[in-house]
Amino acid sequence: MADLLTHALAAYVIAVALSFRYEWITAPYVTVCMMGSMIPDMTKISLVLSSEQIEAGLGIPFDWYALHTVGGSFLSVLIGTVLVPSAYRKRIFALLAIGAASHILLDAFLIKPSGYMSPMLWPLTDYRFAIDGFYLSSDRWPALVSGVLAAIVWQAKRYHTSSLDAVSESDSSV
Amino acid sequence: MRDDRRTRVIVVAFLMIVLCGLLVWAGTLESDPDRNEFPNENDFVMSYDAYVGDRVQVGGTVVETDPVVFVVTTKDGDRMEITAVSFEGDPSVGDEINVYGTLETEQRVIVIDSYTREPWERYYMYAVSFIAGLWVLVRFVRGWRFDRDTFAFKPRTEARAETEEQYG
Repeated sequence: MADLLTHALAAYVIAVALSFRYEWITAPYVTVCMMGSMIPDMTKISLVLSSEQIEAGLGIPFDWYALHTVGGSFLSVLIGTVLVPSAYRKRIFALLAIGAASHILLDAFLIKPSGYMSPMLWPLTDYRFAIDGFYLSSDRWPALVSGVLAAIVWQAKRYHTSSLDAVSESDSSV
Repeated sequence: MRDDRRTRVIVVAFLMIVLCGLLVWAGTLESDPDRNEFPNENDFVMSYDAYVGDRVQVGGTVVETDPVVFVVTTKDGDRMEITAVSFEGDPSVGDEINVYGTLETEQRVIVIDSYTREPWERYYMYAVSFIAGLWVLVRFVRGWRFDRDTFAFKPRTEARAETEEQYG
């Protein structure tokens, strides 16, 4: 995982950028996209309760890592989608999926000593593709870059909204 | 799907069961160099000789710097000190290193590639991740409310909700 701040900021940038095209993406929907970007890192539950503790306790094989894959994230997105009324469902599914996909895409570029990415496309495939990483999850610059981008889209959105309708300027926050 | 509470609980429970099944399935997977999934300390510490000559990926904490020796801990709590041969870089004691290389006899790894992380970098990562989690949680609580009647989350702005009904 890149750090969660980078993921949340990246999802913010994507959602606000999309809101120029899709006006219905208001602040609560931007939040949904940011939540989607955090879904794969639910695998970090393992820091509190490790896969091995569960395996030992229940006597069955178990690996939290599945949450950090396409399969686990897709099921988690579906659960999130079911938790809203049907009128919102398409939108919530789309935003959660975009957020989760952005996470997996960003993590594909993490530096691995072996030069192969984690098997995040599982269960579609558990092959680890060769990818030259760009950052470690503890590097500072990914959060800095995404933070600057977030500030830019935030300002652009404010400007856009206020120029559309000066009266609604107070609503421009995303 | 219907929007009543019972249907929602049943569907969520079903999806949770499928998700648990996926986590169990993931637990059955073994490392396999043919898929570029290399053995790690959990595999080789207990049966070291079987893995000598294989490519491994292993991480641990530096305990000596010349040569670089790091201690790995398996998920079962077993520990082993390993010498990182031809390690590039200048790690300090206490740093965390992650190494890809060839396992050799006498608890050595011939390093092919590696990265080093200082202890504070890990704390930084956890700290900003925690802040991000709080940020999103606050946004969520401010933007959404839980409707107990239908067991569903709805945007707080009702006007927005009505727009949804029209165009959703």
